[in-house]
Amino acid sequence: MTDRLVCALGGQLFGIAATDIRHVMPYDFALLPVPLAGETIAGSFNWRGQIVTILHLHHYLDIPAHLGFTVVVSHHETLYGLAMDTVMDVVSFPDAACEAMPAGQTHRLEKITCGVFAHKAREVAALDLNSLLHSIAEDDDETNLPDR
Amino acid sequence: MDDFLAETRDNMAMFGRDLIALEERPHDDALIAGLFRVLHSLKGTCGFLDLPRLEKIAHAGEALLDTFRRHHLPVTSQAISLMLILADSVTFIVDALARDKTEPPGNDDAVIARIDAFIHGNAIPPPPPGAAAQAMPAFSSIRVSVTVLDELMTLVSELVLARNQLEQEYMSPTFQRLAATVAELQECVMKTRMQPVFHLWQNMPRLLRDLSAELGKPVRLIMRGESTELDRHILEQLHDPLLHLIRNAVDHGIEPDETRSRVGKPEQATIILEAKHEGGYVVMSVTDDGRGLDMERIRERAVSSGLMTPDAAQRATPTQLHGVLFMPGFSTAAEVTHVSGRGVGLDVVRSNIEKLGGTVALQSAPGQGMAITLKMPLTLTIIPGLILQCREHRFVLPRRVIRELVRLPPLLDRLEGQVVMRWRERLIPVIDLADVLQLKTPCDDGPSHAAIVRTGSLIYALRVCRMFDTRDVVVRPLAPVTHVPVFSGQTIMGDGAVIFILDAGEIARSLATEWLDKHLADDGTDDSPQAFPEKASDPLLLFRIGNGKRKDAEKALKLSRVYRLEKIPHDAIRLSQDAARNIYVAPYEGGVITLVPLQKGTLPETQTHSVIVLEGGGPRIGLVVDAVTDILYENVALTPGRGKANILGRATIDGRVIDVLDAAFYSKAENAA
Repeated sequence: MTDRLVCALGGQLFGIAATDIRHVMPYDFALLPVPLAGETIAGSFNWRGQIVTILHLHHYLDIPAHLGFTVVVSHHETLYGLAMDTVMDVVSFPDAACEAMPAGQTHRLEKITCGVFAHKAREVAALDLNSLLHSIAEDDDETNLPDR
Repeated sequence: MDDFLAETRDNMAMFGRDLIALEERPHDDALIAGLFRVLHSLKGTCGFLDLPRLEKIAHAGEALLDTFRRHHLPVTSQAISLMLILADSVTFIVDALARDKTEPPGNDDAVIARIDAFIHGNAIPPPPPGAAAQAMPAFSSIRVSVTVLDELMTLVSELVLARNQLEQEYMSPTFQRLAATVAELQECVMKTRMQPVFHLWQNMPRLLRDLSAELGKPVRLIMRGESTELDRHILEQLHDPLLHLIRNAVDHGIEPDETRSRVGKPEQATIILEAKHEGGYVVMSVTDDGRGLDMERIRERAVSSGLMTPDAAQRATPTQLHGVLFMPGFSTAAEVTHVSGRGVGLDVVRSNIEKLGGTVALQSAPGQGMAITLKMPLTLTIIPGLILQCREHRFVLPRRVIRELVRLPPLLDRLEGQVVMRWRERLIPVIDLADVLQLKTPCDDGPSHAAIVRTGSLIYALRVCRMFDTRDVVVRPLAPVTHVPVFSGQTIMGDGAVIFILDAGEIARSLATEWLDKHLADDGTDDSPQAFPEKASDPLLLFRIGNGKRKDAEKALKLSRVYRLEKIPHDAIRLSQDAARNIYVAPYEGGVITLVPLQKGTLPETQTHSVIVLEGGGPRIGLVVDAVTDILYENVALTPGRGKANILGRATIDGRVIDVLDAAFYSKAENAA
């Protein structure tokens, strides 16, 4: 069983593993943009003396968004803030219930998730933090290449 | 030494346990090999640290374990008992070493004789009477995991940040005390990350021995300052460059036997490895007594590899030619380095050292040898940086790359598309930080400023909108997804904002290489400070004291001892009455600076005072002078002073004899008081 925090972003539901989550807070802070970084990397901000890098998944997935919350997650001791529209419940999903992503999804969505769970008649894409960060880094490299 | 003792204690505890295990599993070869290794490495280090008694007993145990290892003798419980007695003796000596800093008197001949007898199948003499177990002494050092230390460092960094944040609001005495405590705590925690350079050097004698045998050149290694401490991280990064320098010294620096005897040098060459602390840095040098650099060969090579025109090569000074050695094109020509003297990968050595915030300098005396000196910062986690602003963004530029801060003229020249400016009789490119970062919002009006930056062999001006103060910043790594090479890290400012730390080397990459090759490569050879600006002797900072009432009012200080020049308003200075004398203090960089007037009596009531802030750890010290007059870059020879403690020596400058003051004298005096 994995506890996941279900969040909504641009009409899509995402499940973020609860063990990765450090904090959930409203999306209302002064953000320092990172020059030269891709648009997915929205900026850094100081959260209780620690630096959190805010990621705009909706830019990466090219979906609309009305950002309301930030979910601060930790990956190899680095903090990231995933900007989301709304935050819903924490749901326990049995790992075996994870199904392959249905066909017809965008390539990018497929890359950053490890499958889908059914929850209240909707599909929740299980976010894979590791793949997500790798994909963003790669993507960023590509977009930066012509400039260098 | 302390580390060695702590390690040996741990090893011997394990050794005892493993011996017991061996008694149960006498055929366990891995166990025997492990035990053998413990004594073997103990013996090796003993030879190194000159501990004959310990070495002798370790050797005896090693011999016994060797017979087990080779299956010459079976492992019997009698043998195990002998080994346990031996282990006790080792522990006894180690404890005595920790207590008295020297090996205990007496010997272990009885134990060794019994072991020898066992090995040779003779009758084993009985144990001497009175060999009782020793009492457990108090430990003076313990082992702490690196993770815990790193965590402690992070916590202290947080504390420093919090202090910087508070600093904006408070100036109360209580806060000053807190700030001072935090600074001390920071220094203390930093110390836990420090390791003696011995850790880095311990493999070098062996390396040198092998090299010496391989190349047929007898060499002895002298190591000085093994206990000098340096951040663990930097120490690790120094290993390869150091190896490189030693290899170079033996391979290319030291002449073959015949040559040495012909020129009357001792057959055995000497390489000196030295480390010491100097003004907040660690200076490490590799010196050999070989042939030194052959300037003619370097000239030839510089021309043939296209790094210099023949004309430029003829005119080049020794310093300029030294600079050529650090150019990538020079070093890759492997076959030439054998002929010419030096150069295998010196460019790589330099770039590695510079990545760590250090510098490399080279001195050569033809026929007598040469020295390569590495100057490293003590730590990388907290660095002094200049806060600057470009458009609406603030950034940190590490102070170590900055040569000078200048105000730019309103109109700058262009040379084939590249904006350039004149700086100290030299043409340097101007890089606009806003262009590099692709910032589009306009700079507010007013003059723009530039930091003259040196990175590798290149000097350029970095144009920004505004400049603020320098302050110590805690370096945090960028999140791995943020792959922006021009930023080397990020930090949190006193006001809570996150700002990025600039990487001067990466910024330089925005210059077109073709342009650089065309306009600076040729120029560069004419103008060597670019390739290698370090001077053999320190530049001098000249200043006046005594309100024009004294004859010998002009004094000097070595520039390397100077941290900053400041104007401090008279109102900010407080007189704190000490029992014996007047002490002037003023707020400075989040702490307090103690001001030392260089003339007797009270401070004159001028509006501002010129203060020379001295380089160095501990509380800041500033010398109050009338005015700073000049910086002298030429080499000036110092003649010894008149025996006054505060005078380093005297220099003759344009016919005037000027006292060069000893900065250390003032730092020491104030810190002691």
